[in-house]
Amino acid sequence: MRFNPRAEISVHDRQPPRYRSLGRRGLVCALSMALVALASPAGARAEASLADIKATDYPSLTDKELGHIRRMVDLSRQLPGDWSGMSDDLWSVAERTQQFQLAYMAMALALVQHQYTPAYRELYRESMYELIQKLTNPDIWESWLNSSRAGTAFADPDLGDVTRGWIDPIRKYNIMLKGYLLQAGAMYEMLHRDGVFTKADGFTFKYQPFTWGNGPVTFRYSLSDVANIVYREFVDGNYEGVQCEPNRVFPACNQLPILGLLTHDQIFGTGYAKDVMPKFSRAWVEKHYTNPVTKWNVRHIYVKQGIREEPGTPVLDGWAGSWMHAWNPELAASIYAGQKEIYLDKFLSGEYAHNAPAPGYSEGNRTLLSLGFSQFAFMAAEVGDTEARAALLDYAEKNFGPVWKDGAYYYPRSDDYAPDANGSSHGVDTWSGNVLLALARLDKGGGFLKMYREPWGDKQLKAPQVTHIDDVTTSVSQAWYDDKKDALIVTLKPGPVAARRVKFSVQALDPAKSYSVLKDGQLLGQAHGQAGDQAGGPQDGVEWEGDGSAQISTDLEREHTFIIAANE
Amino acid sequence: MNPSPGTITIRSKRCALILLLACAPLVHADEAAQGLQITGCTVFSERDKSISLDCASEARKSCAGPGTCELPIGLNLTGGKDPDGNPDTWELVRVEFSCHGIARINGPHYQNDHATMTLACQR
Repeated sequence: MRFNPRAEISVHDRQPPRYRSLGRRGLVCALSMALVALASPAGARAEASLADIKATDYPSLTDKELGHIRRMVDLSRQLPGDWSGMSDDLWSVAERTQQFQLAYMAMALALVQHQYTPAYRELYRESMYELIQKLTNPDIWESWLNSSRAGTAFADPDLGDVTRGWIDPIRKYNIMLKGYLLQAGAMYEMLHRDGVFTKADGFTFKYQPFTWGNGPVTFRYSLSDVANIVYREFVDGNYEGVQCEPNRVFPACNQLPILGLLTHDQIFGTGYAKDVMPKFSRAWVEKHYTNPVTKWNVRHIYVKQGIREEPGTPVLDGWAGSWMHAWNPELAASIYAGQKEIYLDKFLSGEYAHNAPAPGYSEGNRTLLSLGFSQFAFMAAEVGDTEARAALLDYAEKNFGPVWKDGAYYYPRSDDYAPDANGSSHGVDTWSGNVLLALARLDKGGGFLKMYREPWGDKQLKAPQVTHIDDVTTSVSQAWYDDKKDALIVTLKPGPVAARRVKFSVQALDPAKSYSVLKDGQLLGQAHGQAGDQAGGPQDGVEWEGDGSAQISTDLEREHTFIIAANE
Repeated sequence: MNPSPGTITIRSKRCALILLLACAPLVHADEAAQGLQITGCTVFSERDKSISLDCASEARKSCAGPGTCELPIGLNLTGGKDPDGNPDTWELVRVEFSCHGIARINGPHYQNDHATMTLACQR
């Protein structure tokens, strides 16, 4: 039996008191649905099949994972120019680490969106957008003007002097910015398809210093402009990698743009990654980007001189391996095996920090110590080394001083790198504390590999989802639509700010179908006054709209699971 | 104190009001005429500065009259052509403009189809 809410309006006078606050059509629909469920064989069938839908069968986020997500959301909401909690002393790197934190956080949220809560998107969409937007903030990209000038000491021994450089951060090189912008922007488009970054000015960089320079200038690029430029640079570079600064290719930084090209191909039907991936893989092996003897990856290559800079570092090795696994898992796994032998024991014993540089400025500064730890942890997680991942996360829990703050969970920066009596280091950089260790926790093995192998299409984008959730009072630990059972499974947890009652919406239901709503196993749409109602308080309710949406109100003094399932 | 050349000394509020009302249309017309005006535009090769093109007329098509202009500085300034014919060499764009008679410069910036210069009379 099919329920057509538009056909049931004539019964509106029979509304029970509990629906008085609902819209007229909504309360009529709600009542109609309840009557249908009570009186018809369809209701009985629904009840029987509903019992087969168990929330524990679907992905859900732990409290710590929710806390990590809230940390990233909080950082995405900081005002422009506010980098509180994101700064380090990595002064030897012109771009510092904020741009990487932003891009990695966007990708971490994408992972959660794709694999934990695909039916709860508004929070992730907004936060991903804000993080990507911050990548176009002058604080992030203006350092390119310096980096593009290269120079003799570390960029090009044959150059003679620094050059005039250029301002535009996309036009040429700078893969450590535009590759990440491409990856995150393409992933945003894959998950949300609102075209915000595909517009001609999707990425806009305004150069407007008042105190120096040759006058204000603005650069505008679309997502596809960036993809095309990145692809051309792979081709022009003989598929050996796009340069970071002029004359230097960092193999680690070339992983993310490949993934960006892959997503661009999946969305727009281009063939960029299809062309680049096998040729870059071949170059990796032939050029010994992983040293077959030492197992380290090269740090970078001086392009003109053809010199490979070694030895490798856990920072760059983990950086490369974690993302390489998402597009070439076989090669990544083979490299990981050798690098695990080098690094894992050193991290778990604290040995990695026993020769920490002195506090203050130093060329090989201490930030890199914890960065190496957490880059390796993320790589271990992505390649599926669950034992190493667990041990590293356990070390981090014991030594890196995690905190809860307003519902956010993270490892605040600590410059306390000197080993303690047990030999363990407590130093943490912000890239690790905000996102890398969170990624190690969220990625249960092959998380990004799966994301790139299973891109979303219309089926996922048009599936039912929950919306209008007040994330100040409500954390969504589970939001999954099971298309085979035509059921939406949603679990809400209270906090960080307490609220006795909350309301949320369900969108994209099929108006031609009837649905049952269960709250903690009880049929909310059928009975008057359900478990979970507080004495003297308003009742739980479901307000159905004829357009395939519904509003559900509930208490939230404790966790509740809702199942919204189509009746057969 | 002697008034500087061009200064009009107003002796009464009534005179000032009359003068203001009488001159208002003229003042507006004068400002419009003297608003942002492109006075020069050059695209030149970084490799060989003797290779240059005058782009003033093209620039004026994009910027005429108002006090602020976003001037595209790509191949639109050179009729879609690379001025020195060498794709490995970048060209630079330098624009001279005036705001109410005061000369200003923006550039040189690299010629770039994704770039616009902001020309503004007020900063």
